[in-house]
Amino acid sequence: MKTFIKLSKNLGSGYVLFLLFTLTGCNLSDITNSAKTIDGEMIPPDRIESPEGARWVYLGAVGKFNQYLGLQATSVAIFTDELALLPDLEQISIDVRANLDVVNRPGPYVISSTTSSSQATRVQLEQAIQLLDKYSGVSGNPMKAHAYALLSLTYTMIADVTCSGYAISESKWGGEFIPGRALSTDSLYARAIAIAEKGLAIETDSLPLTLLLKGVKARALNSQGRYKDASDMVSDVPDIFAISEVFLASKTGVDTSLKYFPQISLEPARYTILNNKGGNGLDWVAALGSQQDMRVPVRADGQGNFIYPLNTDFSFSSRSVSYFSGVEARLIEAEYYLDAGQVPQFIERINSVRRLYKLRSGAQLADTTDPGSPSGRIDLLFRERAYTFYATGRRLGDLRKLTRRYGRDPENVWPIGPSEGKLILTYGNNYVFVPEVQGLGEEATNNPNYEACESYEP
Amino acid sequence: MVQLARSVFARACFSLCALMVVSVSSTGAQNKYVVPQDDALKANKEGQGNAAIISLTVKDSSLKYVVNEIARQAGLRAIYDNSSPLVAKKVSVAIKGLKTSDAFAKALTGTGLLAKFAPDGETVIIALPENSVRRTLQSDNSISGIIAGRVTDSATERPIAGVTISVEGTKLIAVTDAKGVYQIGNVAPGKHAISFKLLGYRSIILHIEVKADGRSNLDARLSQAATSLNEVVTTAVGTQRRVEIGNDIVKLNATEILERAPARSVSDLLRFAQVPGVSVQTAGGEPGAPTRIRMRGIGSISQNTDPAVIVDGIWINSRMSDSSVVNKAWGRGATNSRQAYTSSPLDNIDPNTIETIEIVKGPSAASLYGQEAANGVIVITTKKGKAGPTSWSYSFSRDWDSQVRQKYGNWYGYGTSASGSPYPVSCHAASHYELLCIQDSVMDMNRFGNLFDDTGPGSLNNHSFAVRGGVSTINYSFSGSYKNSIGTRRIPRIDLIRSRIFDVPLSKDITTPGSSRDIYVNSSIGFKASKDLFIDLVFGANNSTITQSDVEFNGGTNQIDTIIFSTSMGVMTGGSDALSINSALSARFQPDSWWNAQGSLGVDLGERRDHGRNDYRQCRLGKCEPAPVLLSSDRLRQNSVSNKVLTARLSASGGIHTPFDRFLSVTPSVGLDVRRGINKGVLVRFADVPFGADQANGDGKASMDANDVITAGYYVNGSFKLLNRMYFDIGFRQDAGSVIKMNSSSRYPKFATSWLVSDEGFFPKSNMLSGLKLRGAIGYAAVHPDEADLYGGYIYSRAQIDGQITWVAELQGVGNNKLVPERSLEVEGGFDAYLWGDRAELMFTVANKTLHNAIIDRRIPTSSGLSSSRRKENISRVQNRSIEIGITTRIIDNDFMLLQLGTNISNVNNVIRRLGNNTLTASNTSKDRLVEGYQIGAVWDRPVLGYSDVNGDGFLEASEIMLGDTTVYKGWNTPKFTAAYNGSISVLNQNLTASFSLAQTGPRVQYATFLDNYGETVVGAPIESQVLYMAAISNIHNRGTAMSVSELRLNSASISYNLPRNFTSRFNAKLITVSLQGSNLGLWTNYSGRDPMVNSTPVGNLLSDNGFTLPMPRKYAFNVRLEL
Repeated sequence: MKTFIKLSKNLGSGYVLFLLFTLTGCNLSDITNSAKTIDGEMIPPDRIESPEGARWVYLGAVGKFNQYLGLQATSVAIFTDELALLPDLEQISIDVRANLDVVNRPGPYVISSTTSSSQATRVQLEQAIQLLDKYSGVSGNPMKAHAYALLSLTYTMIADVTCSGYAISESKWGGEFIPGRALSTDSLYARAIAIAEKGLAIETDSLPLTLLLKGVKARALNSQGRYKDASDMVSDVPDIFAISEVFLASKTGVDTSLKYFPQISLEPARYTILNNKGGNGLDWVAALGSQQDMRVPVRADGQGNFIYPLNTDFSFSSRSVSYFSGVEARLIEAEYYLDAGQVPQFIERINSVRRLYKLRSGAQLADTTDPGSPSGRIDLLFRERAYTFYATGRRLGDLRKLTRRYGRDPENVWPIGPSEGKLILTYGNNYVFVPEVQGLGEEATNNPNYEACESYEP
Repeated sequence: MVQLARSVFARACFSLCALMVVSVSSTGAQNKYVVPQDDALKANKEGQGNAAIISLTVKDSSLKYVVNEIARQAGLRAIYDNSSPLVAKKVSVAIKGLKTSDAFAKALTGTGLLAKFAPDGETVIIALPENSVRRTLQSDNSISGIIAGRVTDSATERPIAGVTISVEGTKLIAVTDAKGVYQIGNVAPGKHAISFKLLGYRSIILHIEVKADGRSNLDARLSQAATSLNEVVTTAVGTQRRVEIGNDIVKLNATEILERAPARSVSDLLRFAQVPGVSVQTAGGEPGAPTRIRMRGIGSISQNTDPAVIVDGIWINSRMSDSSVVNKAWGRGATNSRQAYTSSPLDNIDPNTIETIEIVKGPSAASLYGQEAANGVIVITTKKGKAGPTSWSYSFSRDWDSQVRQKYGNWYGYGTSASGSPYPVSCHAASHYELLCIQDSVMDMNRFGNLFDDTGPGSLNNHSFAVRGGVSTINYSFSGSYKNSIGTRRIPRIDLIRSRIFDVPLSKDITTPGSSRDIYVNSSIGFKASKDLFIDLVFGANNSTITQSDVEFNGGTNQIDTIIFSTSMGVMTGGSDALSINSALSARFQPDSWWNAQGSLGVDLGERRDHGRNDYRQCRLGKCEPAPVLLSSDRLRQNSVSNKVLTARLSASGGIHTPFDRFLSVTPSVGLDVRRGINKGVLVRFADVPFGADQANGDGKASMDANDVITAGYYVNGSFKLLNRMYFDIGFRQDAGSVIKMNSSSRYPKFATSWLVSDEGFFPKSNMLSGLKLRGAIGYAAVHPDEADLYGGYIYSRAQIDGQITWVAELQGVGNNKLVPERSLEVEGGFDAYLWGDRAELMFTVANKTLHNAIIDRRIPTSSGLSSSRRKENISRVQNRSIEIGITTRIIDNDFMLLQLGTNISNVNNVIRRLGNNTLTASNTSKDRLVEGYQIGAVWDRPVLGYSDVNGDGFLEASEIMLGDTTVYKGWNTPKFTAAYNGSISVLNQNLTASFSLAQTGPRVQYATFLDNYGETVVGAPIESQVLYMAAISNIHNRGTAMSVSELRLNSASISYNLPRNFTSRFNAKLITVSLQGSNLGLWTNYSGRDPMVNSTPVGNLLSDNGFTLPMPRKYAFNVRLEL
């Protein structure tokens, strides 16, 4: 009876006023629920088609990009020497790349989710631009320019890590869907450049946005091997410039599907660093453990292993994860100098970056010197990139670039064979892997315009 | 004629009765007397107009027009002999300020006709003087005796007006008045056969001996005919006689069903009615379990396939297949995600308050009711008050439920521990092979007769009462019921023992896991606001509470081990509290006798709150921690579901009178309706809830599903009547709504015709075939996609951006802006034949429904960027074909005995004709494949290609069975062939009645998780049993084994007795009936699972095993009904 009275109280008023409801179209839940907006509630189309709706779609696209960034930085990183999975694999000898199912286990962090996340980010950014174009006018220019920057970056990130021949479909707001054809890696970079240029054409009066758009364009140019163009593009980016996403350690208030970086990395508490992972991995212990380079947030377990590197970083404070910065600009310039054979400038750019960081002791990182050989200089560049961009989703692209652009033997690039340390992980030799193998399989099944990757070479 | 006049003057007889009176009395000259508007309910008008002041001047107009006009001004209904040349006579009349009676007198001057006012205040009879009529009816014989008596309805004991009583072999005739009383004079002495006839009732002949100058009493009780041409059915355009309707509409009398079966819900009524072409599957035998109702097959692949439900003219939320029927708050937590279903909104209505249920299956459904009705319509009319003395009724039912399982046993195989442990241990094949147990006590450990039995006796108490009555200007009805039931699920005894060992007390609510309580009230009031305006208000409310609970122990290697080694104990409690309110306000305006208009506003509100919690305790070595630490998240869930349906309707109809009325009459009608349906469900899950707390600190995780659809439509309809035996109905409806814009609205033309061919002169007269009606109909229907299906969908979500929690829009679906509504064309044809008088009726219908542009949920590639990766597309075509046959017979019908037998047979099939290029549906490994040439809901399974006991241990293991990679067709989950066989016998003047109902279904596929486990547990079991068992348990056939199942069920049986009147009169009671009923009394089937009727997934079109679902219980019920 108590329930009856309780419910009657709600519905009784609804009944008495039902004529009014009929006329006004009031929703029962408007009366019975104090919270009018609930996660998962469908947004009426006419609310999307408005300046406010366009802004919400843009914000959602940013949220999706953040999620994509987190997945790229964690799930994808286990295929490199950057991260390893910690839990429940201790007693298992696995070939990670040959047995993707082991990694591809149920949960939101499987490798295939990176594919869907990248596509979801791309599509929502495209729809956001479409809606901002239509409804937001000049006031929406900053959002639009930002969306272009993220979209360009998304294309570059996809191209960095996937096979050549990645399907791009069009899903337009309003119900139009055009199954897409495969784009080669170079085509993806070309599209990233074109998108960045569109962003640069937008008047925003915002120097940071302009620098960001230059940066993302430079990144695509660099990936294409157009090192000088890339270097020129970022020449006016200051060292201390950074466009970052600030993530809070607390997850209170956000428990939707838009999981962001700290949630992804913290919840499973599953990532660690393996020293000389798979044989070819960086010697994180020797190189970082003794020096305590702040660029790689790790915590030693006292037994020669680093544990919970990402937890260490995110558990105790918020963190900014930059997706373009002056540091990257300098490294892009360094790569140009390396390619141009201007070694002193190359070393100077490397050291200009190192001088921005400190050891845990508080001392500044010492300058490095010229390794003395072309190969050693390449190693130096990619080592510095690995430390500088640790856990930001760059390493996989860099390893692929080492073989694609610099002709390195994959056998010497990818972590292959057993790892050192407490965790017994054995990596196979299947370096021609495609992280999004599951996603591409479904693509081939369901997209009449897509058959397969043109090339699985890195 | 005297009797006729008396009957017409009866005070309490409404116009419906009056229509019957004049129609029936003119047997041999049908439709001699007519009401100007030939629709009975349209003429149902009350008033007292003989004191009105009339002014009228006409010249050379027909007398009929003059009479109608005076009647209209007086607010009266005029009844006259339409075939009489007198009423066609041209007259010129000038009336100014005369009272009605004087006006009639002046108008009728010179015709010999008189106007007589009925006591009901609303009717005036234009007829010749009584004595002139009487003379025509009198026998030439000398006046000898009188036969008098009273005629009542055998079901309700209410008097029946308008019954024609004739003395066989004479011209003596009489008609009962409103009290059911009749009298025939001038009857010659001797034995006579007296016939009692009224359309809609079965005719009877009684015998009596009349003494000279004596008065002989002869009462009669008539039973309603199961099918009758003159039965009035409700359609969107008003009410029509069945003879006029071209498509098949089944009308169920709820009272009749309740007399013979323990129906406690509308779903029960439909289940026991066994309507041809209507499939009713239940989600289980627990209180509140919903049902899946399908009419003539499965209509749609991806859209709603539930029929619409209209109660007293308004739509109610009826999406039984909607996911909102799932109690999402209830579950077993981390170890088992079992969900419970909550009752269908349809079952909120107490069946005792229902007058009739009409089932509209044919092509007219959508054109009459709009897009929601594309899958058929269930029209429910509740009982209303009627003018006359106040009637009181009370009924009480007590049900005793029990579980009867077929072929059950050895759910767990148990034996003796090989190590000599005194406790029985589970003894599966593998453990037996490994010599871990000795299989010596399998039968002792039968799950259903030992510690693991999870069932027990259930019960239900139902109290229903009603008071109804009224006067000429107002009527009222108030009824209510209280229902309290305990289901048959129990916590197994072993868990009760364990809970004692672990010192965890369990309350009674937990030990009786399934129970429900329903309180229902229904009221209506109708009144006359002015002489032309009639208003009705209906209100119904239901409060339902369902409680559920469960206990679970984890840990240990077998059931016995867990006593000691349990690592945790979970106590799950949950339930559902629901309140629904529906109300309709309707008004009818009838300013003239030939047209009327009506409008209605309706609202159906429903709110349900589900709650479920799992309290887990950590246990070890026989003790559980008193203050448990919760082990994982989602331990407390709250789910609120709200539904609202708002309805507004406006319609008008009228008759167009032409000089050719006798040959052709036309009744056009138009209507407009608007409907808004809102469904919303919010599930909040709380984590880390302190023990005993109802809510966690902080917000829970909420998720929501909702839709809000407005549709508006109008229809125009024309009913044509040709020579009183050919009927044509041509209609057109157009719908638009919030989903589909006007430029792509749905249009539903329809055409229906019926021909009473037996009334044609060329039709051979035959005793065997006394009546034949041919009928046919064709019409379109459409189902609209949802809004999100067209535009794509964004949902509210929250993201962290720049360190701030921000509301954002998150893309879910791409939509399809080229989507058009699913459109179906349905054609049906058939006949109704009346054999040997009205001793037998045969109904035959063939229907074909083709769904064009059927919408399918097609998978789209990952590059679409959508989380769902699905998109609706119009790429398929689906066909449903059905044959329906209904036969009712009265084998014996005499003073001593009435023996009736009947059967309903139907064959329904569904075929996907085209699927298009759809990779999702073509998946050759799915159990739910959609394949051209096969049914929606077809079951596919991996075949057993071979097996071999490689290691020779006598047991087959999963690795020793070879199965195909591709699933193969096993059958359809819906029975193609169904039949029902009903019978009843009444004796002692029909006061003692016994009845039975058998239900048969032909082969269909059902999963059986609960095989007899023979293959697993018994040494030396046939290898085939082992194959089936191992395939079922090894996650190869992970829904169990798909079996082709047939069944014959003794659906119900009853015996009822009306106590003698001399006994009931002591209590001033009109009727006291006691009855014993039973349902599910016998089941003969090859099914090795629990119950082939049970499909534990009522949502959508798919099939699920019933492993965790209770079968339908066997029910015995005692009823007593008292009417005052």
